[in-house]
Amino acid sequence: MQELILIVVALPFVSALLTQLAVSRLGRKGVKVSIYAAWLTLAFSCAGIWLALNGADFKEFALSSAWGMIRFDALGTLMALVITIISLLVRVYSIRYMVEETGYGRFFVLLDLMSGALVLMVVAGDLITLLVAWHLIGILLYFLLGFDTRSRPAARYAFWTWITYRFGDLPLLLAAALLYQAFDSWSLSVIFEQIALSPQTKTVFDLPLVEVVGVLVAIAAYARSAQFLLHTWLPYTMSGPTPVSALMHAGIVNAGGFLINRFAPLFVETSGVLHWVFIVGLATAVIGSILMLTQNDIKKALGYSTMGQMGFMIMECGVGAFSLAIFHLIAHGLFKGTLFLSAGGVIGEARKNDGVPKDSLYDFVIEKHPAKIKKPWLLMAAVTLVVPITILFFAHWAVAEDFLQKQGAIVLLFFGWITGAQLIFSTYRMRKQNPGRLFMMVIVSFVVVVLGYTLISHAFDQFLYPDEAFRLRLYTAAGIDVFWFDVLVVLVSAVIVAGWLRTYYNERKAGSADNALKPFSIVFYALISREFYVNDLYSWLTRKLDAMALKINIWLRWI
Amino acid sequence: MQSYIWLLAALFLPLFPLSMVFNSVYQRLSMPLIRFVLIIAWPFPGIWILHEGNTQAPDWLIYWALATALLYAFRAISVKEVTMWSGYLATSAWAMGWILFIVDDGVNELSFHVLSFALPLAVMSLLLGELIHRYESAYAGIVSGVAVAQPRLSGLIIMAMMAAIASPLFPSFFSMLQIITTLVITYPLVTTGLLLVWLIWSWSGIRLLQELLVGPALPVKYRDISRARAVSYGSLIVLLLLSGLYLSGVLL
Repeated sequence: MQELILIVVALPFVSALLTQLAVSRLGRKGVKVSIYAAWLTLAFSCAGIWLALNGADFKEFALSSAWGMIRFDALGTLMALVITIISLLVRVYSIRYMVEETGYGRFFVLLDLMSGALVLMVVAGDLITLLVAWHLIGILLYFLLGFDTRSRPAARYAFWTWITYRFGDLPLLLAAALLYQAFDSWSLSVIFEQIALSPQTKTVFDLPLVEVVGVLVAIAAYARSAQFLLHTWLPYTMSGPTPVSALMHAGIVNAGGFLINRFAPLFVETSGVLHWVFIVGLATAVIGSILMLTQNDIKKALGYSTMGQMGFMIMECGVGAFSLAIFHLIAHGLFKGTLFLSAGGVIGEARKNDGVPKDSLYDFVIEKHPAKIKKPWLLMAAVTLVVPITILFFAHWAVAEDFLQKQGAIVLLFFGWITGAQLIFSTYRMRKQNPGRLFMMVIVSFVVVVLGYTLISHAFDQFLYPDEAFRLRLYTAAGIDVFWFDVLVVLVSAVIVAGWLRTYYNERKAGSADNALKPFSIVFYALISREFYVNDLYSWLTRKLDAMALKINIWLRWI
Repeated sequence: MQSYIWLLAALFLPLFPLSMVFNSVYQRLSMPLIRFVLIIAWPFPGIWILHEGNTQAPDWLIYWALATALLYAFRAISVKEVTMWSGYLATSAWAMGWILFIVDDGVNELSFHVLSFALPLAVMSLLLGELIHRYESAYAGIVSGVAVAQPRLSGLIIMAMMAAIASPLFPSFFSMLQIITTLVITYPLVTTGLLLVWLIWSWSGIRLLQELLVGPALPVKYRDISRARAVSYGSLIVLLLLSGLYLSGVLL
């Protein structure tokens, strides 16, 4: 029965071919083929996940002797289901949304091919198949983003995506070549078995193989998931069609988290790579969120929001919470996909009526006028800090009593606490008719979210990594020396408390001329309004290289 | 005598500065069919010389070949004329053949490698012939908006370009994968250099493509290629894809 997974991979490619034929014969009606195929693929994906949940064994299918291996496993079936759901929604949405576009049929063919490539990536059983799918996704995304061939901005930003993805393809290729040379096999199963047997294998320059390959795989994941310094393409790719934005933000950018999970048997043997993964993820989460908050273009803000979420997902991998990253990417995918797909409706509605009630919530969120605080400040601060940590502690304790033994869990708990505190802090400053009721609603919502998140992530743990020893080893691989861990916790707490004090100080001094922090704020704002000058740096570098190539060509008479 | 053999081989499997001969000849040709033949035939005397020479090439040739591959890939960034770009890409890719020959000592692999780049570029030369026939030029920027005006021709140019810059599942992709896998342990820095070359091909190729194809159609209207011609060229591309799948079984 595990053979079902082969149908899930093949159907989108067959659908692409049939859709092309149907469109050339029937015109726009031909895209129905794509929709029916998407429903069918979803049905087979559901059957696949049902089998996996019922304990069907891991199985591999070789389509040829050299490569083309497809694997049936928990991670692959789960991701295939997510991809088929999102791609079905996107296709159904596109039926009407894209109807006035030229190249209507081509769009559906590209969507079919993209779905096929994504499914192929998640069920690839060997490195060549993985590489082929990984490369194809970049190529297809370029053509989807640049779908409107009349639009030069769309093409320009599609190119940014293309070149970043190509940059990310090459480390994965290098990693594949190193693994092949070390173990004389392209098969992922064989490679992971060999790594488990001899984790100390050396590679080029006598370096440990797992560390080198771990770094290369992580770089490939960074490029795909828009991590800091490789993120510039993401906020600027909104010139593409909205369904493509939905597919990209809900599915394609998540490939980084998937890739790290796929190579979990390798990362479990590493000693330092996950720390760097954590740092890069953390930096991306913070920078992405800062840039999101300062955008006045809602589409760019959504782009940076995805960047921040991707940072958080990579950070989760960095603390050893691999299955949590998968849960995160699914949750974020569904949430962000919904946002993009409803954007058109919201814009259409807003053209008729902005529909924004000019109440206290509007004042607070849009006009940014917080209420004058009359409640006991100290008591509210204590509630703000104590309530979230209590909820988080008991939610985690319900699923695993020893969770405090894992540094990763503490880090995530810490982030949950800060987020919860920030949420309650914001509520406290809102002007409302019934603040007590609002406050209670926020607390209840927070409890539901935390409990849901904790229980579902625990279920994901059991499904994706049923071997508890392996899970513990992942946390160990991500762990650092206890002393340095404590130092970091104190340091980060100090930074956050300083941030809160800074906010408090700023509120007190708002509008007054003697605000000593104002010059720093202006410099900082200039920095973030230029998006840390990363785009400027890349543009400058591109121009320089272009000019240099031109100069050489002139010297050599263009021959 | 041996030096002359290497020099002669470096003329046909072009290494800088002898590569300037090939590029000069290629750019001067105006008939697409002659370009088609030249780009397939040019490297084979070089392969034959290496085969008949029957001696081990010196190691330093690897670095010379890498430098040539990098130089032409880099120069291709600022090129706007697609025929010229094809010549540069051929030079850059064929230079890599030397590395494969020296490290692997296999003439068959070398022939596969050379052909895997020559064939898509040969198809491209035919397609560019169609473009030049309509616009009298294949200069990106002067000619633009081709995707709107000639969608069939554009689709085929895109596929040929994908094959030329070593995208999967074309033969060039598997050939590059084989070179990288062969070299990665013994010459890790050369491998990194080759990956850089691959990245630059993608950069220059796609940029050129979008300058040529994207944008509103030019005011002068020309017909697209006929369905029959599109099928013929398309068949060549499908053949390339199939040969890529075959090559993956042979090389990997």
